[in-house]
Amino acid sequence: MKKMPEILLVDDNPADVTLACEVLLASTRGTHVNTVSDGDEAISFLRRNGKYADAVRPDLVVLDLNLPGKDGRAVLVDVKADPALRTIPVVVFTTSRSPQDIARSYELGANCYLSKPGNLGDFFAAVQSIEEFWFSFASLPH
Amino acid sequence: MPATSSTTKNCNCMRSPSNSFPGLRQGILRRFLFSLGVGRKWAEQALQESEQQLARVIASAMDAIITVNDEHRIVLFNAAAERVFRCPAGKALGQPLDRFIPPRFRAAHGEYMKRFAGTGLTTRTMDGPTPLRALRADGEEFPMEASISVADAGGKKLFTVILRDVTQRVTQAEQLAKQAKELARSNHDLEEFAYVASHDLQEPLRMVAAYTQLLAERYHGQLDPSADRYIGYAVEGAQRMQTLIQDLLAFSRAGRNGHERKLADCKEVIEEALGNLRAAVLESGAEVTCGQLPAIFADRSQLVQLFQNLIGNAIKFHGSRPPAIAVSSERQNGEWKFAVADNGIGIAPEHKSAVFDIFHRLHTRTEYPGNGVGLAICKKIVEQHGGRIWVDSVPGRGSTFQFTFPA
Repeated sequence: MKKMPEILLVDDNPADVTLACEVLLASTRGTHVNTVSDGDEAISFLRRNGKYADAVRPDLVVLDLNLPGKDGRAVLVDVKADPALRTIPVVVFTTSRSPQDIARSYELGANCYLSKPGNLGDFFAAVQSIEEFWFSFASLPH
Repeated sequence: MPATSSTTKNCNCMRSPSNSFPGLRQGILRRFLFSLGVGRKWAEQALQESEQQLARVIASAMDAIITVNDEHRIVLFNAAAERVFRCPAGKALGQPLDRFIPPRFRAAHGEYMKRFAGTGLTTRTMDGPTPLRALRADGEEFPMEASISVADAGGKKLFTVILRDVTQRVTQAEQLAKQAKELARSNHDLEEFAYVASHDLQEPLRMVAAYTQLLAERYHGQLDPSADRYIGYAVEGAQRMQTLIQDLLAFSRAGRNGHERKLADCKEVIEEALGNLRAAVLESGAEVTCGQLPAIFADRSQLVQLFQNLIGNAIKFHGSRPPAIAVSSERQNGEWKFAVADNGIGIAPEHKSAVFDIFHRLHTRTEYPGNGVGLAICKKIVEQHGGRIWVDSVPGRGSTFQFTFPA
């Protein structure tokens, strides 16, 4: 039986989380979303530490760069350095448009980088395209 | 009688008028003695005039002139030196030059003079890593520039220092340096502000814009009639603020020398600008023609922005006819003059200079969109490169925006 797609959304902005979930949960694929709001929680979730012992391994991580404490860049480093985790695709979805952030993210091994659009319609379209691309078109490792 | 002896050579312009034959030999002797005395007197007079002239020259000189002998004692101290050192010549003559050198430099200066005398050079500008300093009679130190020369006077050496008090120039330089530092600090503050505006301001704004839009979509027709209208105003306001901040950022970035200036082919630049305006060009059916265009030294991305704003405006502010835009250039008085001419709605004479003000708009937002930053950006870019920008226009017929770039 085909498993339902699992996304780990890492974002400390509840307003953006709400918007993203609007789109992701509306998917006909039955995509499920888990949310964490800082980098340490993200790593704990992925490594199934402590309260995340029963956590599901996500098929995709959608990662904001600007997080309190451990920021998205540090999470990216940790995930891509860990042999157990580095095959999980990580899509950076963040407000920054700076070329430095974009270059750095790809250097650290991000699978993709998207800047959060300012316009609602474009924001929805961006999230929808992430979900559609990774779960309809791309092939994912088991 | 023609002068033949060497003693009379000096004054062979003088000829004795006497001509008596008997006393010819006596006459010659008298003439000889006479010409000696007159010659000396003439020579003395000429010397006196020459010395007076020289004295006047030295007295009238603006720079201080001080001559010292080989014992480094002052033998000449001109009027300018009296003023600069605040010391009458009477008190200075015979004094060692050291008197006018700050104590801590005296030893070094003495060495310098000795070495200079030994070099065989006759002149040298005195300089060093730090500005030279001298000492006035009242004890005040001051910065100065000086040259030194040496002359031989009957076996003895005479050193002449010509010196200028550069206090004013030094203070002006210090003031300029201070102002430059202030300016750099102010620019840094502005850049930080621009970064804050881009980053931190846009975030909460994005929330407002997104959720007012969401409200508008989800609750359209579900609340009382006024609610839709109010939400509509909120949405518009938020979106306008987003573009305003983006435009403000573009304006602040236009001022900064972000990129280096290279030779840019204007034809390629315009092609790039037209590429960015592709949608507007297609939608309006605009026709853009270019004459011969040069390559100029400029920041290429700013040049693209400049042409893009001008051509974009020409397209936007069209009248009933489809926009026809002509870009041309000519070389004039050592600069390039560019023109972007359109057949649009034109600009009334009273607004011709105000159009370049930031956020200045001539129409309502329902008539034409935009925040009124485009021309302000053009003006900033042109002026940053050392040029001028202006517009000629006939309302109802069209406008021609012209700007210059130094060649």
